Amino acid sequence: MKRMPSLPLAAGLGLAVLLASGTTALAQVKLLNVSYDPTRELYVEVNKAFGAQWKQQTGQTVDISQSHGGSGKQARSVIDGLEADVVTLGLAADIDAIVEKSQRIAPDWAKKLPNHATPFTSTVVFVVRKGNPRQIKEWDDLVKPGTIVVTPNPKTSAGGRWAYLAAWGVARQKGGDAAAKDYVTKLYKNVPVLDSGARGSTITFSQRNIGHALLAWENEAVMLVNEMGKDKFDIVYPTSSILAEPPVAVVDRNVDKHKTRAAAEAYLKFLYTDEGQAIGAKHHYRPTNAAILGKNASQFPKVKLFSVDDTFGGWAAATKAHFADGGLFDQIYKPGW
Amino acid sequence: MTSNPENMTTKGSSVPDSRPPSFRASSVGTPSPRVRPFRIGGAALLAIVAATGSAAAQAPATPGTANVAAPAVTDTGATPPAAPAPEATPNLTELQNRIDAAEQASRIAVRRVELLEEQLAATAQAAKQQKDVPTFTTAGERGFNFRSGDGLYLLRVKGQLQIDTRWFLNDGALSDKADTFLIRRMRPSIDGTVFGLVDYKFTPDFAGASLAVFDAYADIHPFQWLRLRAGKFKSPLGLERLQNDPDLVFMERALTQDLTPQRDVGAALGGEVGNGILTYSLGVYNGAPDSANPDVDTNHAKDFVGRVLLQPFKAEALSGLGSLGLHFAASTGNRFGTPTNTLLPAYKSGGQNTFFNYISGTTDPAGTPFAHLRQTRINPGLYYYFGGFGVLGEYVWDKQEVQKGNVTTNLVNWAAHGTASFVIGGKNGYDGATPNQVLDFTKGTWGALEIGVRWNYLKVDGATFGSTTDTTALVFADNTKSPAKVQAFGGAINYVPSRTFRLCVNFEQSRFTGGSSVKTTTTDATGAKVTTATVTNRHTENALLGRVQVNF
Repeated sequence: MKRMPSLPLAAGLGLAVLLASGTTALAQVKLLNVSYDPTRELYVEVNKAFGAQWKQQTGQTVDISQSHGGSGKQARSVIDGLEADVVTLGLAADIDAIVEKSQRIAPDWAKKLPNHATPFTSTVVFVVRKGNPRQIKEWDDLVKPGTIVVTPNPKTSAGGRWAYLAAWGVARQKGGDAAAKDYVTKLYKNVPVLDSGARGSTITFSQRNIGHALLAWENEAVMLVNEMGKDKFDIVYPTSSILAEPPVAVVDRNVDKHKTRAAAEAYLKFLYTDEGQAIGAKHHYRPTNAAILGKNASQFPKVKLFSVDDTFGGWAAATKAHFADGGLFDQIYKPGW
Repeated sequence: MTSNPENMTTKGSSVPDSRPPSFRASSVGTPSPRVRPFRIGGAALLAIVAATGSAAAQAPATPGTANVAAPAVTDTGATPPAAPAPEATPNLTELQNRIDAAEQASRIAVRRVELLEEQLAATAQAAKQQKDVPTFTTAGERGFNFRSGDGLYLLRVKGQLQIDTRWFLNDGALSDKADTFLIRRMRPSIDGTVFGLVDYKFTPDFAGASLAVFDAYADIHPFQWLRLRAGKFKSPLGLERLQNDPDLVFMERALTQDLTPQRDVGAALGGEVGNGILTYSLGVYNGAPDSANPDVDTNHAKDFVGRVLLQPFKAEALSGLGSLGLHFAASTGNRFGTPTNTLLPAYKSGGQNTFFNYISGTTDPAGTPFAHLRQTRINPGLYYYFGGFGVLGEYVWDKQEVQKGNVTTNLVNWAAHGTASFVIGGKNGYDGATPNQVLDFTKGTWGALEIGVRWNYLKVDGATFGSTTDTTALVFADNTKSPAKVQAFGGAINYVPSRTFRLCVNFEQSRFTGGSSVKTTTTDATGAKVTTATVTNRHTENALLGRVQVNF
């Protein structure tokens, strides 16, 4: 019987091909970060810094794509099948919606990272035209007759929802829920355009030249002033506003499917590192790390902040009362007023 | 042309755009050609408005969201004046204010048109995506899945095939020599979701002599804590019964299964509270006898069955302690058996041989006992899994009122079992062994090996067999044919290459008390031969079972 010298050769070649393909797969990992409107620039820089760190630690190249939009719409996309590895959204309620409607994220997501999975905080401030011609300094100034306010739709935008709750919370402190409802009704009478996301509102205000005041995330406000010209806009910090806590979470079902859990978890944990916190501060998000916040204290004026939990009993209650179909927002806002 | 900044996916690396980064996504800055006519037209209109002294704020609203007269505004800080008196001649500042206000109104109108266009485009795109990608098809451990683009509809095709062999060692004294190969289960299954709200499942079994339906139900789940299931399914009795067949440590369930129904038809409310720390179920069912799988009811009476399952280690602070389940279930309901449809069970051993039957009066119906009125079952149990280690144990107490002739009595039977298992190369759990790495020759991974041992026991009420001292006591079962007790010890070795495939070898020895007899013939004082039967134990059963299982 003839020997078959080709058999070990084929086995060797097969093994080499196997090893090569395995090595290539091992050398690269892809992540998709589905985020809300104003975080584009933040995550461009975070991705770059994390990629370098991950490469150094594991030898893997991490290729991170970003998707941005109104927080509620982004959550809906993930529910409908957008293969996000991580979500970095504007509201805890939006992540809860993913949990509830698609089970793609474990229900205990908020306990898996520090500070209820909130690496940075922010607040809602006012952006006004240069010199603040209408002298808008506090929330009451926004409801004066003739004042035009620009803010996104709280039904679709995290920024819009924070702004709405900030307005309600401030008014409530003065006169209870009845006064708050009256105040917010007047406020939204002065809102002629509801964009679906915070970035859209910024464009409406800054590039379409609509309105006297923009209710914006603090980071979005600072970026607008810095990039569009300090000679065009001023930022007004009201005495009191809301503590905005945009959370992050790994999309468990997707990372298990993509086999990207390790990188996805490391990516979110990176946000809590000194480097990640410093990048957040650079992009005008308030770090949760007290030391990093202290180093950057000058760029974050003191505002008396109240939380959703304390004022509204948590996001579930706030969402049900204010933003559910037929809720308070639907009651006070009449399109076409 | 619109400034929709949403849902743009960009790589986190370079972004070659010279505009400020925050606005790269936008086409805003220079009005698009479609916007420009609005602005030009608006400016022309405003000139007329200003010249005629009309306030922009007084413009009538047009339909939709882009048609509302905006509040009058000015960037000079002055509040726009009310409609001027016809005879007054506006000064330059007032005119400027009016122009500013009119410009704002015009810009708002244009922006609203843009937003409407964006909404229409997004709606059209979503509709197109919905149309273009109607389904996602996947295949894996959980079957073949077909899901609609919006995720609201799901169809899963699944299957379970168990090919068994049973060999009874040292069975020379047994009359029912049952060494055999057989198809134990052959169950295709269809399940899924409609409207994103209602789950459904349909599972027939083609194994055996006739087609049987095992699951056929709809499950409405508006909330995690509240779901309504209606149809044919497992009533929540039997901790091991509630485990899926392919996930069991032993090929056949323990003796406790003899005292719980396989399936029942009814409706139940249930759900999970506190992230699954508490699971509950409360239902009303037709009322299935022990071990039965009925499709229809024979009377008006119904069973009420409830269950709570406490899983304290699902609390975040305790999540590192493994998986602990504390189960308690109970049922109660009436039976209306007859001599021809007794609604009384027969009990099977681990080797699936019937070892217990109630007597049947072949000529006299009054000699046949049957279930009459109340049956109550109580079923506590627990499981604990940590890493590869797992234990599961339960107890079933079963009281049934039985009638024979015109006499009734309550008979209480009970059973218990404890199973311990260890998974090498995998994770153990209530949902079965899961290999850390599935069998893959190319990677040199081999799946998992599951080893299990168990003890199980069943005791029939002594009153079932009459009385040795009271000859008038009724006899419901013949103790020379049906044992009063059985105790079994078993061991299992299962090779689990993946959750979809396993090879099983089980051995179980069942020892009986009663259930057989020795006949002795003697001669009495008159010289006549008298034959008497002395109760002895049924021959010990040594069952060696093997299985090839495919499950997806």
